[in-house]
Amino acid sequence: MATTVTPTILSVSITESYILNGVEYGGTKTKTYTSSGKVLQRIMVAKTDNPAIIDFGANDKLGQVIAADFQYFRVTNLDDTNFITLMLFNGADSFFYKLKAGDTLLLMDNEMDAIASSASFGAFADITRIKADADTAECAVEFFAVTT
Amino acid sequence: MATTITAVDLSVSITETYSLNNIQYGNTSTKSFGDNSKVEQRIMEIPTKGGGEGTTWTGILDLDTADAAGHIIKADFKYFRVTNLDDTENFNLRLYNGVDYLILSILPSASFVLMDASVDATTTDIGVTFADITKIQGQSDSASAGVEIEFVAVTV
Repeated sequence: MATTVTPTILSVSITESYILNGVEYGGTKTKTYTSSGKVLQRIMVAKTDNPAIIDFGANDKLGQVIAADFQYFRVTNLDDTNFITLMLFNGADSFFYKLKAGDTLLLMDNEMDAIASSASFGAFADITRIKADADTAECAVEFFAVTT
Repeated sequence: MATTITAVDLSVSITETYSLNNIQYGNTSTKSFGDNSKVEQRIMEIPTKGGGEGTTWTGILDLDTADAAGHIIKADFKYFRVTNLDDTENFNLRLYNGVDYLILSILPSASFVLMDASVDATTTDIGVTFADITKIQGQSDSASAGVEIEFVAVTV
């Protein structure tokens, strides 16, 4: 028995269009990932009870992808009004980010460290869980996770 | 006396191209930021991290109350993107909001984008108190080789 899925290339481009005073700023930055063989893409509702949207663990299972195989993650707030408090948790530390209406957060690596009230760099640890807490009313979110 | 700068919109698109098992995944996410009249874009060198873990951090951009050398106005923040231009070494990005620090690993050729400056960091997952980022700093993850980065910051 062998898989029939052939890993392919994921290409991610960020393009800024901004011309100020006759000068073009920004640009296009592209990162390419090879051997990308698994994907999880979903549109779901984030309610105000701080639901997890994806877990990163030792194996693929319900709502979880393999942390060691991480390549790329993107989440977009599809609401047109309300913001989401996005939480990245690495097993010890939590980082919170205000994801406003229409905003996107992308991760091209899953290592993070967050320190409250300290300048000391502890140690990187892989993100294990991402939560999306709708602030005012439920918001639709789209996320896209690719692993090897 | 009046400015001759006409405020314009910034459009940012993130496009993923990925076909697996003959099915197209990914999407294009576009956000428009209206009426911006200031910008700072720069390619700069970030030195090694120094002796110990996190010994040396280089200031990239400060978010403050007035425009000054290396400072933009925090209240006017719209967009920030940083890209690691090195082809080998990782770049460690540190965000500071006056209280908390977040450190992220940015791989070669990878980017990180901020569409809002409000962040918080804790060792628990309750009691979130957002505060605007005040300092963006970086270091090469290597003890012997620096990296070059590009950043662009847009404010109203």
